[in-house]
Amino acid sequence: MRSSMARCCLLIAGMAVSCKINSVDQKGPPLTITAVNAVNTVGNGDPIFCNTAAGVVRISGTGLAPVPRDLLTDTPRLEHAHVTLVCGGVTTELGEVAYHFDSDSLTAAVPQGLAVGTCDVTVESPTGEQVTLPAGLEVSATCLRIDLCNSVDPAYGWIGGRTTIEICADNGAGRGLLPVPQVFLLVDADGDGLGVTEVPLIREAFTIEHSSVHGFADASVMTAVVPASTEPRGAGIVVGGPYDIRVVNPDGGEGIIVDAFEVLADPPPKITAVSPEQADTQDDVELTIDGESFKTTARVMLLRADQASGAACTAPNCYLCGTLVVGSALQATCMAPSSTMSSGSYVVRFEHTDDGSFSDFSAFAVTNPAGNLAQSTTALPALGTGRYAHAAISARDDSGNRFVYAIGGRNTTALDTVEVAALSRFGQLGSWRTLTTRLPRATAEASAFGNGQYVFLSGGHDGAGALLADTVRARVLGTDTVPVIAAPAAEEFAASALLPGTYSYRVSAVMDGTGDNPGGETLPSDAETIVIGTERRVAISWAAVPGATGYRVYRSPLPNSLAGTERRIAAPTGTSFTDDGTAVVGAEEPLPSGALGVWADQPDLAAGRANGVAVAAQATGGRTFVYVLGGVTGAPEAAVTDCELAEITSTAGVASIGAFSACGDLSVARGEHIGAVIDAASAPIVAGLATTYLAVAQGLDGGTVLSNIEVASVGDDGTLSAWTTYAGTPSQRRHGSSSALVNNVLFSLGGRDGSGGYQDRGLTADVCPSGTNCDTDDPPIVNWGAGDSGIVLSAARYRAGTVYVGGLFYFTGGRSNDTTVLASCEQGSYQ
Amino acid sequence: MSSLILAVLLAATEKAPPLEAPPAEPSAEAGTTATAPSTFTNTTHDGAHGIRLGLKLGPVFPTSSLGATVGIGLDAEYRPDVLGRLLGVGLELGYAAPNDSGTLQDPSVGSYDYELKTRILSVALEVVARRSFGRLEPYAALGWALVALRAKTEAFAIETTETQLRSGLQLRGGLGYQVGPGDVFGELRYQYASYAFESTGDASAGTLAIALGYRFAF
Repeated sequence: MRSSMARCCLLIAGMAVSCKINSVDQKGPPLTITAVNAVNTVGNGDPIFCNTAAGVVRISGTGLAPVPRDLLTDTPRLEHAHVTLVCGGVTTELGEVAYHFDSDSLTAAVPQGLAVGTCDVTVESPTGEQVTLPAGLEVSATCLRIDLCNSVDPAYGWIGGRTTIEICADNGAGRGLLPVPQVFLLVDADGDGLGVTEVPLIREAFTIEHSSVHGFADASVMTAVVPASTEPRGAGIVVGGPYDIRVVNPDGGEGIIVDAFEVLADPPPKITAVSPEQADTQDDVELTIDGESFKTTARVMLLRADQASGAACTAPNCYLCGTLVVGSALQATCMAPSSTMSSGSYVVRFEHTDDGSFSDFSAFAVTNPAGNLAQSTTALPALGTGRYAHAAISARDDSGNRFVYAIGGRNTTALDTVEVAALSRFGQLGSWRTLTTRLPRATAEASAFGNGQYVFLSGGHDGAGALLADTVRARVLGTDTVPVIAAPAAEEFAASALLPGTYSYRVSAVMDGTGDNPGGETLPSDAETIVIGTERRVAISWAAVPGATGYRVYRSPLPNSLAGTERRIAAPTGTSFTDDGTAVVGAEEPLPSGALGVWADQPDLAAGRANGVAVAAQATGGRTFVYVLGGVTGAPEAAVTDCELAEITSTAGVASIGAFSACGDLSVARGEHIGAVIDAASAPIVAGLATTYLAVAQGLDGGTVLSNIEVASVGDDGTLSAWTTYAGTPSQRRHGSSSALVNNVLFSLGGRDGSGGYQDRGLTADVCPSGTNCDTDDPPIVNWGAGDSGIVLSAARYRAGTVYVGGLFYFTGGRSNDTTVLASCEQGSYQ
Repeated sequence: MSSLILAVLLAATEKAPPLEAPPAEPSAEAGTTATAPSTFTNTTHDGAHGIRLGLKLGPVFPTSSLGATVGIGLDAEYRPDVLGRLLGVGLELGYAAPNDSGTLQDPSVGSYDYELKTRILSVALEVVARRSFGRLEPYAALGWALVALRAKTEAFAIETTETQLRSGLQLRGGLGYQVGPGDVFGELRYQYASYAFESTGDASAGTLAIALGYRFAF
């Protein structure tokens, strides 16, 4: 200012009219350009601009903001920077320059027809400052870019473990994913945009070619795995981010997802158990959450629908579990506000608030105290084969995934097949798949029970009219015996019959005759993919699996096939295989998630028995027993009063049963009846009795349809007390119905009444009904209540398989009349 | 300011000059010849040297959309003993800092609240005329002003400051009342200059100012 004044004063003498000297000073971030990307239809940056059409580029950097102008005039405004491209020696000033405050970036409209090659990008600030990024934008005439979605799922992963992410793209403009892209994590350790390390992701798999997902009418989806930094393929990955992800199609098209994936220093939490798993709408309940890697910077939510990490928790789809106390990294408690929640199934989510990582557990059920079910049901995928008199049960694998099984039963004849469907976190049942592992023989009218990852089947009828005394066991296959496959390697081989492209490989093991899957195949490894050119063969290897006698190698039959299309090509006994394309591609597929291992023999029942009820109960002393109650035995087949019990033991996680022995007779012979366990978990109203009880009800005694209920207590050694009977009324007669005992209510759903009518409704009985003493009435009183459960099934279901999981009832198959065998399934829920 | 007023009042009570003597009548008795009266006689409150030095303060009203503010000023003048010290030359310093704020609409940014801070510092070379009527003394001045302008805006963490020197005209007039060694006066001033900043656009930097002050006479 002083110098300007001095200069002006020197001019005063010679100035007759005017003196005008200007200066401009600016303080703020320096003008810089760090990146220039084309903006595609889904809002992502793409390093390559397609010159066949006009488009938009985004210039990222600092000091790009506009400045106010003409503030004392009638038309005040913001003046934006000027952007020019120099492509092939031709200078083009871009229009429609706009500033984006959130990202401190500019966007500008680019005309079509720019010269192919690289363009220098110059930004001139409103104050006249200039900066140029040489070769800042690449222009192509081939338009090989990908319209990627602007995020991946999940958006974070732990540095010490592998993370499978899902990537999608919009096919709308013909720029979707092509099988099978390569994916890179762009690790910018210091965040300056320079010195970026490209870490190739592994196991890229093309999962959906065309689907209306992620908000697009036509989208393509793939998965890829971010390796752990501790493994060789994860070299370069450091904690930080979010880092960009670059996707390259086989045709050379590229796309970048900006700020896509964050690498976390701490392991994400993991929930292994939640107790209790149910509550009613009368009272709040304290939850105990067991797991791993719990941090105190956390919140626990009860979700009815999925939501993004960090999103606000708002009813009715999210309830915050209050008074969270993280006692250790392994356990936390909180108060579930079930009195304010509506009935239904909720996912329990433990979320770290500092980094957004979370773990979900399915499910916490909230029921109404009256046990009223909603009248309407939801249709589910149908079974592959219509069946009735089958066993239905749910079980988890060793990763906590839940599945529903329909085992055996009858169609026109007895069946030896097993179907499985996966349950999502929110209780949605997936499609049924018929497992390649079959029962030892066709079996109907058997009794099923579960323990941990094991499913047991006891008794039944074979397909030839004989009663069975067999008990067999199968494991829900887990990850412990899955081979770990190394990265495939391409080798030069002139005689290779493999066509160029991307192939995916999986390997499973075949176990020896010992263990819990004798002679059976394991789940396959995750897919490893490789891109090969001409005259190449692929060498794969894997770590030996203890107890394996051989392996099976699966490969996608054609180059660039969708993930999951692998078929068996080899069965080596060693731990490596070289694929030159000459192996015959078979029809066998790898086993799916939820597959059962081979059914192995367990101790037989004392006598062939069908139409009994099997219930597994833990006695007060901690021992667990299975009881097979009533049913029909002998010849001619007649309902019996006797029962058999066996202890269930678990050694090194492997469940098995001991020899069966007789237990106390029922007061009346029953077949096609229902049974349940009354304990603190299923009937907290009688928890004060500190005793476990069995209840059986209804059924058929010769030509008599029963309505009464019997209850007996379970001794520490498994012996049963004498049965106490509670009478029913003629309207409560049923046989062939399905049952569950949930929150003090025993359900009898479907079945037939005494007059032969097939039922599409249900009955409820109250444990310790109003007016009785729940602390002193031993055994507790169980009486049919008002009668109707409220539900109306889409069809009458007699001898259906019904499974209760986390507040939801899953009805499978059954018979709707004397001749119609159902394949349909439906889901019931609480009001 | 209060000390200044106090000093002025003290000076007025202790050193109030005598009222100007009436013109002398010719003395026949002494046989002397009285000095012939001037053809143009001015009477002012000047001291012996015809120098005035004033300090003033008052509201300033920009003629643009800038808001009103308070300005301060300092003026000095010298009127030689010619024409009864009717005319003289003066130098005036003035300072004011009017501001403006509002909301801009931009297609990409949306609504944006801005604040404009300006400063106006002027030095004016003037021709001054004044004449007294008893204790009252009206005066007027016309001059050429050198105006130093500054405009500062802050947006998106970038602070931009522009400065300019512009020339302008100013006209002021007032009325003094003799108190002590000088005058207490009130004054109205109009100054014209123009902004040509990028931030302001072409706009008037003119002001209309009202000031009260005290002007010492030497």
